[in-house]
Amino acid sequence: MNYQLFINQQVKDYKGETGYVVAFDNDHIVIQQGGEQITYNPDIAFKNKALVFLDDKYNDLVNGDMKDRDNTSIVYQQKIDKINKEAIKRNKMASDKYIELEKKDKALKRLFGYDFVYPPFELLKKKFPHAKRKKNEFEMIIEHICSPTLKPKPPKDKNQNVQS
Amino acid sequence: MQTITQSNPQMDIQLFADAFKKKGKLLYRWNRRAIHKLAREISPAYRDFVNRLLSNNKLLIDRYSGGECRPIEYGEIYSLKKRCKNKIKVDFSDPRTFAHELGHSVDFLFGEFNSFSGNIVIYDGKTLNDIFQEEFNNHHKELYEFLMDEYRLNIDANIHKGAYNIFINNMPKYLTLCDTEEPKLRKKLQKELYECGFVEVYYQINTRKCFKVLEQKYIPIMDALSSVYDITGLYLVGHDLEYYMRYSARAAQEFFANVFADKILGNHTRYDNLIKLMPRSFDAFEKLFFMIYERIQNNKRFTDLPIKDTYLDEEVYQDNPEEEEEC
Repeated sequence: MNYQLFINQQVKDYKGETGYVVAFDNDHIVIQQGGEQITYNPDIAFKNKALVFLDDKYNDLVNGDMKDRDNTSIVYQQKIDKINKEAIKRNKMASDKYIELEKKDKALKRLFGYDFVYPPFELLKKKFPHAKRKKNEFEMIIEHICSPTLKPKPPKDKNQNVQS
Repeated sequence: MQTITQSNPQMDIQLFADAFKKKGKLLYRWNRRAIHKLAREISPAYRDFVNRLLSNNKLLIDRYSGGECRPIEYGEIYSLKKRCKNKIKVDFSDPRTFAHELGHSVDFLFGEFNSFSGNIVIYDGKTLNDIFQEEFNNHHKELYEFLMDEYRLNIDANIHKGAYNIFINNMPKYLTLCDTEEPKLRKKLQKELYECGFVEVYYQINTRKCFKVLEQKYIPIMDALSSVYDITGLYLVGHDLEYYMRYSARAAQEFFANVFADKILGNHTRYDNLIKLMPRSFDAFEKLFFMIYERIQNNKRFTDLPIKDTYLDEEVYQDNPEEEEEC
C-alpha cells in the first residue's frame, strides 16, 4: 500500500476531535491534533474505529489492505500448520517403522546369527537418525545410574584441607 | 468287544491330583494349577486308565523344561512278569508332551527290551514294529509328497506364490550358515539368502506359524517321516535323523507314543488322518492299546501275551542303552 497517499488527510478520533496524518507506515500512524502529535497502531486503531478518515475513499483503502493482510497471514499460518503436521506425521511414521524394523531385525538376528545385517533397517537408521523408539523404564534407570552426575566424586586431598 | 469305563469327571481329576501328590508333595504343591489343568485336558474316557498308570509306584515323575522318558530298570529279556521303573521328566503345562512321555512309559512297562511295540505279537506273528515298518517303508515317499504338498499350499497361500520353492531350494545354504563360524563365508551366505528372498520367507513362516496346521493334523506321521528324511529347519515336528539311526525300532516306539498321546487327549482330527494314511499301523496300535488297556483296567497279568522271541537277535543297541527318549 502506498502510505504517502494518506499524508495530510484529515482524520477523526474516538473523541470526535479532528487532526491530520503526519506520518504513516506499517506499524505506526502519527496524527497532529492541535499542538501535539499522537501515535497510534494503525491495525488496532482502524479495526476498533478509534480513527476514521473523513474521506471514505481512504477508509475503504485501509480496510481493504487490512483484509488482504489478514487473509495472507491466515494462509501463511495454515501453510505452516500443514508443514508442521506433515513433519510430525513423517516423524511418527519413521519411528513406527523403526520400531517395526527393529523388532524384525532382532528376530532375524536370532534366526540368521547375531552378525546378520538387515539392510532396510540400516537404511532407515541412516535416513532418519533421530527416529528412535521411546526408551523403556529399565533403560532409563540404567541410563540414570550410569549418568556422570551419579558417579562417585574423587576424594579430596587431605593436605589441601589442612592448609586451608 | 472292549468297553471303556467312565466315571465321575470331578472325581477323576481329584484322583489324578492325588496320584501326583504321592509322587512328591513339593512336586504337587509347586505345579498344582498345571496338574489340575492337565487332568482336565485328558479325555474323560481315559482318565481312570491314566490314574491307574500314574498311581503305580514304578512310574516316577519329575518336572523338566522339555520332555523325556528314561527307563531306570531294564528287566529280564522275554519276560512280562515284573514291571520296571521308568522316570518321566516333563513340562506339566504341555499336555501333549506329558501324554507322549506317558505313552513311552506304557510301552516300556516291562523294560525297554520288552517294549510292547517291539515284542508283542498282534497277528500273523507280527509286532507293531513289523507292521509299521512294512507299511511305512512302502509308502513313505507318497506320505512325504502328500505332506509337503500341503505345506506348499499353506506357505504359498500365506506368504506369496513361489515362497515354498524359495524356502526349500535355499534350505541347504541356511543349514551351512548355521554350521559355519567363518565370518567371510557367513557374510556371503547371509547376503545370498537375503537377495534371493529366503530371509523374508523364513521370517514370515516363523511369525505366521504356517506349520501349525500340519502339526495339528499329522504329528505321528511327521515324526515317522523324520526317521527317513532330514526335516530339520523346516519347522516340522520330529526327531533328528541321528536319534533314529541308533536303533531302528525307535520309529515304531515314537509312533506308539504319538498315537497314544492322541488317544488319551482325544484328538480326532489326527485320528482320521491316520486311518486314511496308515490304516494297518493304526489298526495294529488299536489292538495293542486295548490289550494293555484291558489288562490294566482289570488288574490282570501280562504273562499271557504272545512275545516275539527272535526280535532281539536282530536288533542290538549300538550305543549306550541308557539313551534318552526325548519328545
